[in-house]
Formats: sequence, structure tokens, C-alpha cells
Amino acid sequence: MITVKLWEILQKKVLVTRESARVITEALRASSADGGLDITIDFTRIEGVTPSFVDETLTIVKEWIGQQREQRPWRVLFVAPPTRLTLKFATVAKAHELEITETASGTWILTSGHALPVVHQS
Amino acid sequence: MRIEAPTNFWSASDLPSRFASRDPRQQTFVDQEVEIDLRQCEFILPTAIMWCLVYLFLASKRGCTCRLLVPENMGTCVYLKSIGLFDLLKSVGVEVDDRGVFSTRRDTQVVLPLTRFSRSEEVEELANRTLEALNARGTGAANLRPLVSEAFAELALNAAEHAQSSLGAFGLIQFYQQTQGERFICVVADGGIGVRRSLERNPNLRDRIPYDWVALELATRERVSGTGQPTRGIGLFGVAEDMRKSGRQLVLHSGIGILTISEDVELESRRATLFPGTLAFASIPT
Repeated sequence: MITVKLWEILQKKVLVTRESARVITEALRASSADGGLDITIDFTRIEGVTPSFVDETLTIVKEWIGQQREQRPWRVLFVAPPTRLTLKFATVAKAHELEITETASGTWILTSGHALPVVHQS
Repeated sequence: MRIEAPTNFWSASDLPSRFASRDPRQQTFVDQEVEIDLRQCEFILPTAIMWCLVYLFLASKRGCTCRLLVPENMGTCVYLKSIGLFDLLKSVGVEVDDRGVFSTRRDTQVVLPLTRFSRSEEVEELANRTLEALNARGTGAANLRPLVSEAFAELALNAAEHAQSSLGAFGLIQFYQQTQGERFICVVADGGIGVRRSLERNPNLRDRIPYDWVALELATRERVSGTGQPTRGIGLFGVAEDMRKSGRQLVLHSGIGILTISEDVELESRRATLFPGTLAFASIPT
């Protein structure tokens, strides 16, 4: 499991730009996929986010997974996202050919191809 | 050329089109002097303020001698001074005689005064500053503050990334207390190429956009953008979706097209008096 804590890296409550999302590249580069292909993007303390930021985040994650040359299905968890899952964010996921669901606790789960079992966050 | 504003000035559509339709972005704009006359103006909406600002900036950039005649009504004048209109205009050489007019720093209704920006990094900084100001003042419902900040950011990002505006863009966020209720108003405007020309950069759209109002309709659809990239074109679509809820409203005015989206009006677009660039207005009740 790889975890990227956005507040610790960016120290901003509203995440707007693609440039801000690119810090995730560095965080992923410092990680390896040895423990599996679950990537957690932790939005704790973040109060607002734009589709542009989410789009760039998914682009970066997909590129990184491509570099791992993994054939396994993979999954991205958005923990503590600042809003409920709405149509605009579902549209971003769809544009990346990902399935997106929201758990009872509010976590967004994005899956590629073969969906893995949903894990509720405590 | 003198353009006289009415007593209640809501938008460019209130102006005599024989003057206001002269486009200061065009080489064919031949006027040597441009004067916008607000002397009779007693009430002015942020959409109209943005028109004054963009029109005079563009005319000034073209080398015209520009002048803003300030309202005789002191309250209106103090408001325009407080949001920063006069100082912004003076910064590019527009003549503004605001003697004896002082800004009210205590005006808690101005969340973000008129601010000029041109890069997406500045937009993120403004969005964070806005949220900070709203949280610090406790203005509006807590769950709406991020929405205000996000809506502004998305509209401002469009201006920074797609407008190709030589003068940059301007943003203003205000909290209104009216008899109909309290609401946030976010306004963003630029003096750029407009939505139609921006979308026409995408070869797949080039032949599908005969008018500005058609461009606005397309721009609010899912994944339509001038870039042609399949994951782009969701920002404005997302704002449009958000503004279809509970008393909210989105107005986009670009070139001679205007589009309105609200809870009651799914989507209405039509011809309008020229806005020399693009203006976006979002209204969010508390």
C-alpha cells in the first residue's frame, strides 16, 4: 500500500491546479509496488478540490502504474475527499476509463478493469 | 466615444449597442477617446463592473485616451472605490477623478476585491485566500465556503488557461445581503479570444460553432474543450452541474453570446450585446 498525504506535501486547503497535483509524481517515485497496487491519496484537512487536480492525479497514477509493468488490477483510494462523489468527479474517472464508487465512510474507490473487493475505511 | 450607463447597470446588455458593440480587441477599433459615463449610475452589479474594467483596459492597451466618469451617488462611488475598480483603472492610465472618495476597509461583504491574475498558480493562491477569508469571518454556511472557492477557481482557471487574454483576467467575490436572501457572487472576466475561438482550436469542433451562443452551449457539455484531449473539458461542465441546484445561477457571456443555467432554467442561450472577452458569473445562495 502506497499512501500520499496531500496536506503534508502541499499545505493548501483548496487544490486547484495540475501543477499542484504533480507533487504526487515525486511521492510515487519514492515508492515501490512491492506491497501491491493499492494507492491511497489522503485528502485529510483538504477542504476543496477541482476536477483539474483530480484529472492530473489520475493521469500521474496511471503513468506510474504503467512504469511498474504490472499486469495485476490496481486500485486508487481517495480517503477523506472534501466532497461527496458528484457527477463531475465521476466524469473525470469515466474519462480515464476507471470505475468509481463511494463507500459508506465517504472514501472514493477507483478501479481499473477488474474491480477488487471494497474495503471500508475505519 | 462616450458610453452612458443607466441608473441601474446590471450588464453590458443595458448599454446602447451602437457604442458598446465596438470591439476594442479588433484592429478596426478606431476611436481615439473612450469615456464610460457612470455619473447617473446608482446601482451597479459586478457583471457591469467587469464590463467597464475589461473595456477600458482593452481600449487603453490600444492606445486610446480613456476616462471613467464616476457615479455622482456617493454610496455607489465608495463601493466601486472599495472593491478596487478605480485603482486598477488608474494603474493602466485610465483617467478617474475620484477626489473625496474614500474606500471603506470595513466592508465585510467584499470577500475578494477586484484582483488581476494571469497564471493558474495565482488562481490556486486566490482560491485558498478566499476560503481562509470566509472561514475567518464565518460568512455563510460552512459547507458552502469550499463550493464558493471551488467555483471561483474553476472559472478563473478557464480564464488563465484558455482565454489568451493580453490583459490577464480579473476576479471578484462578494457576499450580498438582499431582501431575497443572502448569497455569494463570484465573477471572473478576461479580454481574451472568447469561448468560440478557444473551442475552435479543436479541429473536431471547428465547423460546429457558427455563433458565440452555440459555443457557450458546447462549452458546458461534458468533455468538450479546445484542447481535444479526452480527459479535459470537465471543469466548466462541473460548475454548470453544481449551479443547477437550489437557487444557484451561472451566467456566461462571451462575445455576442450569453448563456444562463439555474435550478429553473436548465439552459438558455441567446444573442447579447458584446462582451469583449469572456465573463463568468456564479451566484450561490447561503
